[in-house]
Amino acid sequence: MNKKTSVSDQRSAIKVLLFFLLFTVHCSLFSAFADTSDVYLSITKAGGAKIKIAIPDFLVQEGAIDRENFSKKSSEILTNDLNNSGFFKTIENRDILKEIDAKDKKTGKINFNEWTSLGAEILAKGHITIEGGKINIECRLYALKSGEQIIGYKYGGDRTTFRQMIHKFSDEITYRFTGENGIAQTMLTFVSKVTGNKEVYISDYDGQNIRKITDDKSISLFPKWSPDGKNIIYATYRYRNPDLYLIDVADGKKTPVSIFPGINAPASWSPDGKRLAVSLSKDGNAEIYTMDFDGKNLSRLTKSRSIETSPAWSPNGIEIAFTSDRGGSPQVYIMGSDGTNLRRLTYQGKYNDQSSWSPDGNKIAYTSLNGGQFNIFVIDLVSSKVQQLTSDTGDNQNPVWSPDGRRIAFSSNRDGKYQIYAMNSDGTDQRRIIYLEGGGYSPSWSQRIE
Amino acid sequence: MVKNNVKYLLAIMFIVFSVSVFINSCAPKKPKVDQTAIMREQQRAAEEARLKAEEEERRKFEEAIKIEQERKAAEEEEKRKFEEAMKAEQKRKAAEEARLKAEEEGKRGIEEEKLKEEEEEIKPQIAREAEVKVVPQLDDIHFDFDKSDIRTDAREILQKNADWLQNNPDIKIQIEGHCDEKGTAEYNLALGERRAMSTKKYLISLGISADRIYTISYGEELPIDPNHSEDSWTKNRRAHFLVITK
Repeated sequence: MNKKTSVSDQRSAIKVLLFFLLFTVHCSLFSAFADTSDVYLSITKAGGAKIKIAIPDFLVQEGAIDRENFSKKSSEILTNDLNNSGFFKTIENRDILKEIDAKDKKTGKINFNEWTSLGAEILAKGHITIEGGKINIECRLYALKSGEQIIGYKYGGDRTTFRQMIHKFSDEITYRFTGENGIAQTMLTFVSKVTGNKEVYISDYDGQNIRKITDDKSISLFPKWSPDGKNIIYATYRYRNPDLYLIDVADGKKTPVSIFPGINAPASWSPDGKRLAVSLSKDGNAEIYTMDFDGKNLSRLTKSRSIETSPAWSPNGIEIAFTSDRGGSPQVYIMGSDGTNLRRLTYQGKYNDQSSWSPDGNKIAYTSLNGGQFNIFVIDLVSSKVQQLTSDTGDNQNPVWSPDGRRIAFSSNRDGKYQIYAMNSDGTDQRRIIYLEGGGYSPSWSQRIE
Repeated sequence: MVKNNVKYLLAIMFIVFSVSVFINSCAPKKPKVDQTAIMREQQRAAEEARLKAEEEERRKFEEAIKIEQERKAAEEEEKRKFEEAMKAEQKRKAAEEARLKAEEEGKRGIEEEKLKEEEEEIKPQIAREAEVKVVPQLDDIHFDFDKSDIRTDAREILQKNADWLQNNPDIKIQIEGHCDEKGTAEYNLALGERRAMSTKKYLISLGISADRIYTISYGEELPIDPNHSEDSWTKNRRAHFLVITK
């Protein structure tokens, strides 16, 4: 009797299970139809070739001030963003783009066949209207083969958000086709001597929109974005000692974080933004400490007579990479974020520093001094394989990864003064992204800021 | 006849029985389905899901309120912290001044202790509010690449500097540690600190009291020679002496 009931219980349990399985399959089928991104995702995954996209100049409402400029700028920004993403290839022949776009306008419909004849797979169009100080941009993305609209968004904002709106559209396109978050809405911070003093600057990820955010008139060093993109931590000699300060990017408010006698830098954020790893010399020589981002709950991680500096918190928060010369020359070491499990990472080269974790935590980029030249290397943490990313192009320092792990920003003096450059994480496509008379040093790449 | 009938009956019954057994065994075995049990199970599951969803909703709502409260609290905390930090900064400045004053009236006992602990690390001292000037009597010393130990040629200079400091016992000095550009800014900040500290240590060993010496590292930020040659790098790897005038 008992056996019987248990069997029938089992059966009914299996039934319920089956029911739910069917239900889930149904749901996922429905969502696949509801959200077409999966469909386009499969296009990119096959073959891995870049998607060809046509981006004609955006239409701007008749009679708007600066009409030509808005029209050209918008397509330029989007073209640049999508080329930067590494997933897309834009159609370059602007004359033909203009011609077909004019035809579209005349006929009042999109001539999908004409666009397809350019070799394009998708088409991005924008329509800008300006009312008072407000700019509205209607952005639409079309699949050319099927002749259907994939996405359509309307963005609005004042003039200062013009670039941001297009960056947003670009990230939307990237996400739709790759499932990955784009980097068009990320930012950089760096140091420049434009005023004669080293001050902290910020810019969009593409080097546009440069703004100075400190006015210490002394020496400012090592700015680092907080994970939420709201604050920047940096070192300043404003009060006659290399102190660590937090600056609120929105209002420029500065708060002292670590002001011990001696060095209070460089620092690195924990991935949750709650703590900082900092090199302090308050106890006699430079050691790694961690502290809350307001300077409280100090904890000492290293204790040696050698130099310990350049802490870099791992993306999962568990480990901290840093530089130590305990072995006779500066090398990169890794320890747990509580100071345990210390091990040496780099053995190649006599002088290694400035380590930076890839966002997936699998690699560390660092700077190595060899034959009187600084170059950027990447070490794979699993295989310990080392790859040199820069060579024969002056000095290259301070590698920092983009949040999608596809690009690395760095500073290089290959064209004279140190300036900010970026390259793919395999070393290809090295390009200067910022040029300032005052040079560019010590970049830091933010997470996505909306 | 009766016997025969019984026989037939038995035969028929046997056939019916075997056919039914056969049919039974041939028929697809349908599991016994207790429809009501399934329904009940499904209803129960649905009910549970509904309750769970409700609970989730409530939790989320409470969480949202909590987050909002926390945000407000955090904002206030921030404000408070900033004010506190400003106060702390003022306090620290006052404390620093008091400390400087106290040190001026320094006690011998403390000094002797410091001399004895030569192997102990000497903590950096800084002169934040001080004004400094260069005096011709104090010469810079230089270092080898990535080194902070006092070279033989530097010892003579430090002896001369120490003699002058002995003859001017009221004067306090600031030692700046500097590096060349052939190193990273991060590491050089620490290296400059170490150069200033090892210079301070050496002066202490020559009998100069620790509390007359302040240190600061400028890393590679203030080269004396901004050119990019071996010659200028040699000049830039230095400890620089300044007299504190205030």
